[in-house]
Amino acid sequence: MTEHQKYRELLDGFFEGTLSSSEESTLMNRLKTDTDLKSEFELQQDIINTIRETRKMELKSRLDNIPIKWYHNISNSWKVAATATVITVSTLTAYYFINIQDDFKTRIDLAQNEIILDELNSERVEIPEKPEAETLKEVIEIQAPRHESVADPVEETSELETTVTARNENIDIVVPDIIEDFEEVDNIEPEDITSGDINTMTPSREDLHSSVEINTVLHKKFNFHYNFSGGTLTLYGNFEDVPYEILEINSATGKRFYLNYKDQFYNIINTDNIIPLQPVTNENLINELKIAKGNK
Amino acid sequence: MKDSEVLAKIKKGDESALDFLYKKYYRMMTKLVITNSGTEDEARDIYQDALIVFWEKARKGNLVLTSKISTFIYSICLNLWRKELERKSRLSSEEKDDIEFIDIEKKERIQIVRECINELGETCKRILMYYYFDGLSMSDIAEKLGYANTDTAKTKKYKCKKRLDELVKAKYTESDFMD
Repeated sequence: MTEHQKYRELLDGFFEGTLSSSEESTLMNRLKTDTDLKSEFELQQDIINTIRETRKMELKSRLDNIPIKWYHNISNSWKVAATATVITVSTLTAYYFINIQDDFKTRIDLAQNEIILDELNSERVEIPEKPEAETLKEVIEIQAPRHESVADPVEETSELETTVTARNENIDIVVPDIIEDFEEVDNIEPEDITSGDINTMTPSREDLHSSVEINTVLHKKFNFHYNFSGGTLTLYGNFEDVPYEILEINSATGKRFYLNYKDQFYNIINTDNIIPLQPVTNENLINELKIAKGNK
Repeated sequence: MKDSEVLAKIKKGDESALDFLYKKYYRMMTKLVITNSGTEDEARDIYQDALIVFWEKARKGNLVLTSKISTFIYSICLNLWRKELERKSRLSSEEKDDIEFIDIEKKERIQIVRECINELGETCKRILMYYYFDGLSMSDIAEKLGYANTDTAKTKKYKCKKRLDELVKAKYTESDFMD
């Protein structure tokens, strides 16, 4: 074995991590005087470091594509917003939704309205658990929506079937018991990393009887996009800073979903693709959604 | 999943354990950076780096956990973020120009190596990454990539590394010539 081969083997051994300490010091001493060996050493160092870097980038890219469910651990403002959203829904148990295509003259069967909440503590706010068939049903004839008076109570709602005219201002709106104190919600957020299993909030969603699960994903490519498939709505973009609401409306033509974000409504349709959020442009529909949203 | 189960999965090279940890502690770890003058992007970057450090340590079997995984990752995040703040502070001072000047040649060479790695086939790339980054043994690599035995994996790794060296040297020489 030539001297060159000997040191070349030591070099390989160094990067494989198989050298003894005496072999390592022999190599280090040689590097001080042998410029060719030193160049080879530096090149090998760069090659191996770049292999490592490539793998690191691959793992990071894998992590980048993992959707993050923000409701696992949410900020206080979001909790308040979410609870406010529950109030909206609860208030709108007898939801009057006008079918725009029929110029506000449609008979609408209102099943129990549900709202989808991105985060919610169900221990604080309870929505009556009833099978679909037993949910509140009303038949409302409305020419133009006006004011609604709020009446209690959940207990009386299950068999309610009422016909109301548009000019009748005594539309019954059923409100479940609402918890108005949000203070304790703050305690959910685990501050202490040694104690927190942040998944503890997750099961609470299941109690909502919401048909849709929401994920928000920070994605490099998609911003302000969504996809909605199999009962899961995924919002792409930074939805953490400003509270949003999802309105789920049971109309005569089926369930409809709208996102309310920064005072604007967006259509949510079933789609397997990731598509941009499109604002609702129909003025009549916007007005109706505003009225619906305002009834809380 | 318990900490012990997560560790067992990582030791097997099961990347789903990494996904699990990422989701579980995302908010907690990124909050650390965000509440200490960091942006959301920086927070995500630091957290991902910390998880990868954890992955490397756990993979190589030189990790002795005396606390919960979350505590360990948190301390890595903390250290990485401190280092990043120091780096940013240095860059804002007069040293900036010198550092960039020194790095140009090295950056150029690393770029060449990166291109050569991409020119290797996917299998070669995987073998070298598993060996040099994940620290997988030859038998683990053979199992992961479906080779008949350890010797096959060993030979394949040798050939792949040799090919990469040749590619880099050829390109590097070519690059010198062009200059």
